[in-house]
Amino acid sequence: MFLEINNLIDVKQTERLNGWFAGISESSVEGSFLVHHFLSHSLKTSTPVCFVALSQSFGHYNAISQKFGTNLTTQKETNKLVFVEGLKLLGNTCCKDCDKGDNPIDDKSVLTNLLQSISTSYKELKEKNGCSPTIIIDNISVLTILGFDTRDVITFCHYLHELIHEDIGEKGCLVLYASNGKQNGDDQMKILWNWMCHNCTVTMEVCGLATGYCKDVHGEIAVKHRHSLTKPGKERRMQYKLTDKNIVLFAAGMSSAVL
Amino acid sequence: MTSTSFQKKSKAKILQIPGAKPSLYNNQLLISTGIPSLDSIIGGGVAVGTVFLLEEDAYGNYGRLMLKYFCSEAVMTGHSLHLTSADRDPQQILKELPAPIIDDPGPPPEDATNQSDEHMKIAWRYQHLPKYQSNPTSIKFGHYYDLTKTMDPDLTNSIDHSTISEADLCTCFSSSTSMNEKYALLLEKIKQKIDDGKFSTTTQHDKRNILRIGIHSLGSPQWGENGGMKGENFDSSLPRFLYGCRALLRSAFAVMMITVPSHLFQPAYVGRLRKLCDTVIQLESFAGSEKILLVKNIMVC
Repeated sequence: MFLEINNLIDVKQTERLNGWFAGISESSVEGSFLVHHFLSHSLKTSTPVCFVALSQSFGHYNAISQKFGTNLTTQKETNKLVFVEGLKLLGNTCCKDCDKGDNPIDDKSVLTNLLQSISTSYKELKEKNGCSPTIIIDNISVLTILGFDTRDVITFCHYLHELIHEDIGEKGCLVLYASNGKQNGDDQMKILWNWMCHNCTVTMEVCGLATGYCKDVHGEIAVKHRHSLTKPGKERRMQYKLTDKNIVLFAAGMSSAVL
Repeated sequence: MTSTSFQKKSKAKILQIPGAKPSLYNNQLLISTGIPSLDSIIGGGVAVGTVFLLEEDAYGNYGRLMLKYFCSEAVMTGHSLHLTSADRDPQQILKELPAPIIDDPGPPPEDATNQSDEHMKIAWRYQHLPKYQSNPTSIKFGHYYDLTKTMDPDLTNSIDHSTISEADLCTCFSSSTSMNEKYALLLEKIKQKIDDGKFSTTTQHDKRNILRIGIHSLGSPQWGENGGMKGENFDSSLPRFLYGCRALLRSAFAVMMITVPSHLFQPAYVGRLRKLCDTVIQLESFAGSEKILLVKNIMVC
């Protein structure tokens, strides 16, 4: 959990992100540190988490969470965390595609099953912990890359959005991580990201520097609150540098290496 | 003797596999690409269980060369090797591997031990210890190779290696699958290899070894690829193949090095492929570059 990121998005360390729909996008640099941030922030504020890992294995997330002082294995055992190994599930369907020539896997049914299992674990987590969970998906663009129709992917996201708003009162939180395709002109990714910009309460865009790689400035992060009723929207743009366990934010051009 | 509560803090047991070392940053098991200077650029080496994507230069010569280094390193470290190529005969690639430069002086001469008795004893405490390291680290991490010589075929045959050529990828069943059959078949063969060779993390094995999977020029026209396009949309076969590989490798003691002629693809498609690989290197040779040569003796940048 990064303190500076919480300050940037205007969240207290102990505040639960009820009703949030956060969209994280990346272009040219990796933005996954924000996913890890939301994962550990949720667990630290004792919000249960349903984590759908489409791009990495459990070991990867566990290793990084341990840097933040959270052990995902114990969180899983204490019913605080449901970890959906999407990489394994979808990767195996890729493998199975080749086994049976006559039985191609229907893309829509894969997404429906995934949605079903997320929905089930969401409700279970809610029952066991007595508060609305957070759903985090890393990385939703993987679905587009694997050839799922962009429309289906958007419908999938829409249902997830509905899921967290299902109950009156305390609402859940949804964090989606995607590539925005701006770097190499990927139109389908752009469509997905546009949809997210339209629906998210807050968007966070991570991009590399226009001038290229720099050792002391890793990139730029732009945060915009889009829900005008709760937090009026004004974009905040900061540059950042990631270290082993922390992040340093500074205004553009104000890196300590420059000054 | 009274026992104390003091205990030596021992870290979690790290697997000892020849030719592999744990990363200094995060304890991941690394293996060498066969080019030590490249290893240092990518953080010590290629992590076991990951996919290494090499985007070829314009004529593919240097890309193939780097794949050969990768294969030679497998021979030198005794790792298993699984080489696939649709463009070239993989057997031929194996025959053309560069020979290692052996800088190991070999066992010390015999008479040295006799003379040593007359020597002054400074470190008498250590005299009962063997003079030389009992298990010399003959299998080290990363070797240097001589491109002017080819590797001894006996040496190449000393390791467990298998190849898949164009002929092996010709399929007879119909093309009703959603995925390009050649990729599908290759993925299946890799899975089989991992299962047969017991490289999976779930199977118990006394003597762990690492499987190096090399794929030459994946996605070239020989694979039936059409610049990443299928009609109006992107063809999702290659991404699916890479994703399937990632899922397989994450639970296996295997490393995959793929060379891809990425200049044949749409930029957006290349971006997608990069997302699905763990380490990506792009080669640009002066031979294929339109820029004016300023430095003549640098061949690859």
